[in-house]
Amino acid sequence: MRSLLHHRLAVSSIVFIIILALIAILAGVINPFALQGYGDVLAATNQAPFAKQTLQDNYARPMTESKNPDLQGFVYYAGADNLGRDILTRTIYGARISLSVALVAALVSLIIGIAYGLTSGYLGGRTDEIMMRFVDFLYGLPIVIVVILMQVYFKAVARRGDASGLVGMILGVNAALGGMLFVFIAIGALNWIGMARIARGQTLSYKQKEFVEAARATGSGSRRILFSHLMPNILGPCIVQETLQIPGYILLEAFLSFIGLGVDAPTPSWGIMINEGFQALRSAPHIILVPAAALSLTVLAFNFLGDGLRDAFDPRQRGV
Amino acid sequence: MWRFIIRRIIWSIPVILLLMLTVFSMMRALPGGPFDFEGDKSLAKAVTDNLERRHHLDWSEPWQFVSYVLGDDVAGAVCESVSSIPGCDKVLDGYKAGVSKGVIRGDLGMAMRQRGRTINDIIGESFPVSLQLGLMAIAFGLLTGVPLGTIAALKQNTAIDYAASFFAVLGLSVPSLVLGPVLIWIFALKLGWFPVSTWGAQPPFFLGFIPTPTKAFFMHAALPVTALGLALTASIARLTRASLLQVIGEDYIRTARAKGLPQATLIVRHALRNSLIPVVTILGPLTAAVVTGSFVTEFVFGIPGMGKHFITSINNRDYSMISGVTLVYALLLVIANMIVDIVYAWLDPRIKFD
Amino acid sequence: MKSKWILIALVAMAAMLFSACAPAAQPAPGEAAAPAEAAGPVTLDTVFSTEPPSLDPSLGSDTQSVWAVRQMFMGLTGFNEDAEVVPALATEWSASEDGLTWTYTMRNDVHWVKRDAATGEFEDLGPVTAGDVVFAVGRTLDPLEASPYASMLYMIEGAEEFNAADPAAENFEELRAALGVTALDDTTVEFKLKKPTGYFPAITGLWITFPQYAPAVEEHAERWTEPGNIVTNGPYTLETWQHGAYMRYVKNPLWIDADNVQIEVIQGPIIESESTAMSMYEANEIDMMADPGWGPPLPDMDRIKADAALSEELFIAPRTCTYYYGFVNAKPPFDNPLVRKAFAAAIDRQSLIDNLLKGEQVPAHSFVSPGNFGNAAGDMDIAPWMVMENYADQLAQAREWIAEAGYPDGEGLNILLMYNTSEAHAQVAQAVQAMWSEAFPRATVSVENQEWQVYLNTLLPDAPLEEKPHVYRLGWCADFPDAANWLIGVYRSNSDQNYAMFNSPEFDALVDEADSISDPDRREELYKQAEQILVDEVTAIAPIYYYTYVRLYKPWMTNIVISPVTGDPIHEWTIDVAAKAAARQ
Repeated sequence: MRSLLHHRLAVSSIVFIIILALIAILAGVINPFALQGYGDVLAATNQAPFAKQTLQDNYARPMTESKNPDLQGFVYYAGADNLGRDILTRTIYGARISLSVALVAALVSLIIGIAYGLTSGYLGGRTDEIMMRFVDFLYGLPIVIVVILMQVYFKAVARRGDASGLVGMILGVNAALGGMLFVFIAIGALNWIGMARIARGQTLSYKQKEFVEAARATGSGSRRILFSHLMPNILGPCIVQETLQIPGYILLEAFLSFIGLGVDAPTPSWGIMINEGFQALRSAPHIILVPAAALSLTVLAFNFLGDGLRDAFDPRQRGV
Repeated sequence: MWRFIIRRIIWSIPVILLLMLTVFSMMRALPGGPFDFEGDKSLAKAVTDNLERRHHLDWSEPWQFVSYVLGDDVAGAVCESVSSIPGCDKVLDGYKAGVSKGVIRGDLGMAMRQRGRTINDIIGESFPVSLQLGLMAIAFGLLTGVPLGTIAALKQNTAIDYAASFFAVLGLSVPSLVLGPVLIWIFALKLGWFPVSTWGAQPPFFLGFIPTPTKAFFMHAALPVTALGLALTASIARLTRASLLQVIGEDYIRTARAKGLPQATLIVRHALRNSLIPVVTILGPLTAAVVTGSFVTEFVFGIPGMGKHFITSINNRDYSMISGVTLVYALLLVIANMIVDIVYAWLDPRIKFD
Repeated sequence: MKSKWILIALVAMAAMLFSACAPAAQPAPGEAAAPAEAAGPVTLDTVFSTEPPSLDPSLGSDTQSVWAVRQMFMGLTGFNEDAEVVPALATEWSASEDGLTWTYTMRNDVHWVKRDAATGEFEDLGPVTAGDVVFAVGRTLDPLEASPYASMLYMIEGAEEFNAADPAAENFEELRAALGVTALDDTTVEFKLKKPTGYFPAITGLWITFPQYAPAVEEHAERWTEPGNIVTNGPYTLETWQHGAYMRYVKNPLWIDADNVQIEVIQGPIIESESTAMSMYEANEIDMMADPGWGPPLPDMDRIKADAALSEELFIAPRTCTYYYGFVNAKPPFDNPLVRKAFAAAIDRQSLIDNLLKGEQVPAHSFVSPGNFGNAAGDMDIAPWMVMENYADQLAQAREWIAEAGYPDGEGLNILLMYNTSEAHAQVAQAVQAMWSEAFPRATVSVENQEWQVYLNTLLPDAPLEEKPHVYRLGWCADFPDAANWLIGVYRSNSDQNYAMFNSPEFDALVDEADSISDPDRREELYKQAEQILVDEVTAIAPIYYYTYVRLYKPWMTNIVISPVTGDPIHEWTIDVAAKAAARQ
């Protein structure tokens, strides 16, 4: 841990991520509508700040005032999107979805992937063969079909409202998570296979090394070899690789929402905003800039954090 | 090594079959069929029934699969001899009019959405284009990513390292959906250096996939290859850097350095080889994905590759098309993974094939 | 040394970059196959928005296929700019007293042609005869051909029976022979109908009745529309079709009016991305942003209107389509007409058009759009409360109605609006959702989207009610410009497409009567009454806007004629060749 704290960039990244999480949690209080004193206007019409739309303000440039008589004097700090919704507000609220997707999906993918790849690489032989063929099978599955099937089945049942038993439980969990369960499942469950392959490759490489032989010679059991010797060595590149996947997860969530399986409109997420905004790239680049910047900075932060974690886990740098 | 290859091929066959069967069933589980609607109009029941009969969609699913893989005549022959198998009545009705020879004999079936075209035709036209685009993009990614990652690793924690990381992450965060139009805007519209879209070569190709290397071809290819390749660059660069850092700290590198080996030889011949293992790992399935058609890049640049068939065939419920492209994708995956495992052994002599 | 490595890496990257940036040459006109000669044939450069599933007149059903068929083939009748039926192959036509028999007299000087793929020579295969029309109609109705639009011809005697027949049945050939279409001689076609259909001349303007050359169809079967096989009788024919990539049509020099056709080549790549097409237009690689390609993308509309040059090139014209939100009339609380009216009134249509759609669309208060015979769009007696000058008045009325219905301010309402997966529909849905939330603050309005086929399956009249949304989005475009196509086709209670589950015996009676008479004035009157019920009295649906064609044409397109239905008569267009060549320097 101490070595992690010594890594300045990693520390700044952690701080950044914590601040981002706080912003996301406190979105209701720190969004521009609340800050500029329009909270009660919104409450009167029972609208969430990220949904408040003023069509006449469509594509408003940053720092322009609203043309809405109800919102007299309100300034769009980062401009408005094509429906006249405040971009800064939506980015702040979007952090909720995007951050949770990034964290959960990355963790799930990392844990399952490393466990699978480590086991497969270590056991080798026929077990390895079978496990990797299963991974091939999963790779070949077109995820779009799976997603549509999930959407058809679960959403239709949800609408019927008569869900019972297992399906009912699943839908209950989904509601508790704000409609994100399927997104988490789809992204996490479908992305661990890349991690598994990398973990396996690393394991294969380290398996033959002397220290493993040494450990075996001194009587260490397989589990000890796996956890104390092999895993720390492969964690490094795995974590770094995982952080590189995060933008993919966020964009995948946008795709899922677009197709109807993720969050429903008008709930924003950075991926959704980027998707909506890219078409207006030439005419109104400000729509995409703020969420894209947020995304890039977050990914950078996770990346540097990953570097730091890798250094921290590197057995050769421990105890120095 | 040959035993390894044979064993891998044998293991892959059930995987591919299982994959085909899963896709087969999943597609048929989706609401709607290939002939239910035309635009927003429901087709008359008689019309739908006719079309479905023509493609044997009235047979039971297992028999449809048998006919798809082995051919109509085989399915018919089986039912002629043992007509008590459930579902044989429909087969006996329809198999004589069928034309499918089965995947076994290289016949991927008839397209359901486009009349009169075979899947073999469609894939035969579009796959080589995707292959060209994909291979060039991967080459781009490797040629830019590995040096970038190496430099970053060698200059760890300096400004150069941070800059390289920054650009790498930027390359990843900017989705190709955005990158493509931006490249078109800057290089095709404003500067006029390249054409906006389309691919500069069409079938037939030399050896099935090599195009004539004219200037027009490279001009058309520049922007899409860059758009697709930049995302790979980022990934590869970061992986190379992380992995190289790890390897540089190892004992054998220190030994070699102590023995007075020049830095260049050290990095290239010793360190880089081993550190490329994670890179090669992701390259396997990445190749298969990129080569079977990056949907977004082909969409944005108007390239007639295979990528769009993945998406449109699902929307159209074109069962034979999605089965066909999935098969191609699966075959490529198997080949790519096999090559990856072979390259592992070459890169790191300590890895043995069990 | 380290520095050597850095140098090598940099040089490698630089070499790649420079090799890619070849000296600035003119951008190739989008396709290596097309000869880019300076003084070549007069060419219209466009893109095609998608690969046409088929160019067969009997099988075409989507915009791409229909556009192509209208360039290559001629039918008995056609439509002029004002959506009136005009002679094409037929010089005159008349109906019998009882309206059941229609006789068409054809001209004898239009010939079938085939282009030899190798030499480029056009071969004259003889005049188009009445027998070709009979063959084509029979083919469209043949169940073995499985034409998606065959049901449009069901007013012909024996058509429905033949189309629904079992090909293995014994009387199959008898049914084919019993079809009510015969060639009395080489230039006379006679149609026998089941009931008097006033709009039948519009039906013979549909591409599915266009004559086809039997020997070509029989020889090549499903490949008869490939270049080199296809036999056409219209101003253009297909020269090149690289599937999924590129298409090229060339002028038919043997066409009756060939001397007046200036545009000799229509060509272009298949580009599925709107914004890429826009970039090509701005790079002067294509001459128009219009069918068969794309219209200007929505996000660019502001920029286009603000740009001096582009705003001149903008072209907006009415289109016979309507965008609407349907209510599932059987699903509470929308089984209450007051609720439906309230929600229909609470949509600020003009704001949507001005701020979101930007195409000068027209706010809709009736179902059948302008440009169709029998439309009520100009009649402000029908649902004027949907399109009031002042939205605030509409809003007040909406709130009154919802309170009257027992849901003051929307209290207790939990509404689901559904649309099919698409960026454009998502925008409108979110905008309307916000409008409804502000109008009825105590209501909960949620939005969902589904993939297209899943969506249609959810909406089918016999799908389970619990799985349906309360409000759904759809559009309707005219197959032929007559209200019959709209009202009977979609909202008659037994229609497969009656997703609104609208059931009104008076409505059915009105449209049935209009379907069986010929008197145009009476028909117009009946259609108006029908719309009054559908939209104003019962408000089964909430029409939102009538579409417009939003297009861009380069300044050197000097004479543009558009058609009210798909398939502009490009043979009537002209290009200023010198201006185009100059602009592309």
